[in-house]
Amino acid sequence: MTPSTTERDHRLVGLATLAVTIHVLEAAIPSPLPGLRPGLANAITLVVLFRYGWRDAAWISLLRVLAGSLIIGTFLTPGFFLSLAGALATLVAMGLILPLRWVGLGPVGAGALASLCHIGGQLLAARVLVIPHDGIWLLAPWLMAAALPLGIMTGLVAVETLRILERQTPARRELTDATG
Amino acid sequence: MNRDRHRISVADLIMIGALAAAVGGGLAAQVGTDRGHRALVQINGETELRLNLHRDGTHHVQGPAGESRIEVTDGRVRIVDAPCRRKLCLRRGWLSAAGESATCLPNRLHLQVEGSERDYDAFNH
Repeated sequence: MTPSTTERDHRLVGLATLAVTIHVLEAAIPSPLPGLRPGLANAITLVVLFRYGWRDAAWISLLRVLAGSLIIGTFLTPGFFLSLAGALATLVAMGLILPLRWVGLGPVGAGALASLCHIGGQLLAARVLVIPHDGIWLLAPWLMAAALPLGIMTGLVAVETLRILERQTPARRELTDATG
Repeated sequence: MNRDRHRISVADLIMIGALAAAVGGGLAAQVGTDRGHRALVQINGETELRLNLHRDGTHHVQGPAGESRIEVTDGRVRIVDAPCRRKLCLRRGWLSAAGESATCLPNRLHLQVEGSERDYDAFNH
C-alpha cells in the first residue's frame, strides 16, 4: 500500500521547508541576548495561520522546531525544549485569539502577541528545565520589551506576504474549509 | 472581507497597545522594585543565616568548600571572600533590591535579598 498524499500535504511540506530554511539561516545570526531572534520564520507561521487556519499553522510551527533542531544539531538539547515550549505557548495563544480576526485583528496584532508568548513559553521552560530559580522572571520584562517590536516587524512581513499571495491566488475557498 | 485592506487594523493597534502597557508595567514594577530589608543565606539549599540589611557587619559562613565571607553595609549585601577559584559570586557585587541574588556553586552557597513582598513582576504570584 502506498500512502497517498493530498494537495494540502504538499503545501504544508513546502511551507514548512521555507520556515525551516529561514529558521536555520537565522540561527547563524549572532544575537546580543540568547533566546532573542528576529523570528522571521514565524512570519511563515502567521501567513499560514491567516491564510490556511490554525491546524496548518500548528503543523508548520512544530515541523519547523523539529526539523530546524535536527539541522542545527540542537535536537533534544535544552535549547530544543525551550524552542518547543515557545512554539506551543504561541500556538495555544493563537488558537485563542484567532476568532478576533472577525473584528479586524490582523497578523500585526497577532504577531506582537505571538512574539511575547514565545518568550513566555521559553522562560517557563527555562524555569522548569534549566534554571530552577524564580530570579529568571526578572528577565521577562526586558526580553518582552525587546520582543514586542520584533513581533510587530514579523507581523508586517506576514501582512505584505499575505497581500502578495492574495493578489496571485485568493484563498477564500481554502480559508473557509480550514478554519474548522 | 475587505477589512484587511489596511495593513494594521484598529484591533491590531489595541492589541499592541495592551501588550505594550503590560510590558511597560512589568518594566516599571521591576525598576521600582522595593529595596530588600533582609537577606537569606543558604548552604546546600538549607537556610544557614538570615541577615538584617540595616545592621552592618561581616558574617562568616562555612560551606563544603570552606569559608565564605559576607558583608552588610548601608542596606546592601555582598560576598567579599569565597573559597573558590573563579570568585564569580564576588563579581556579582552589591545586592540591595528584593529578589537579587549571588550564588557560589563550589561552596553550595546562595545569597538572596528578600523584600517585604516577594513578587517582583506580574508573572510571579
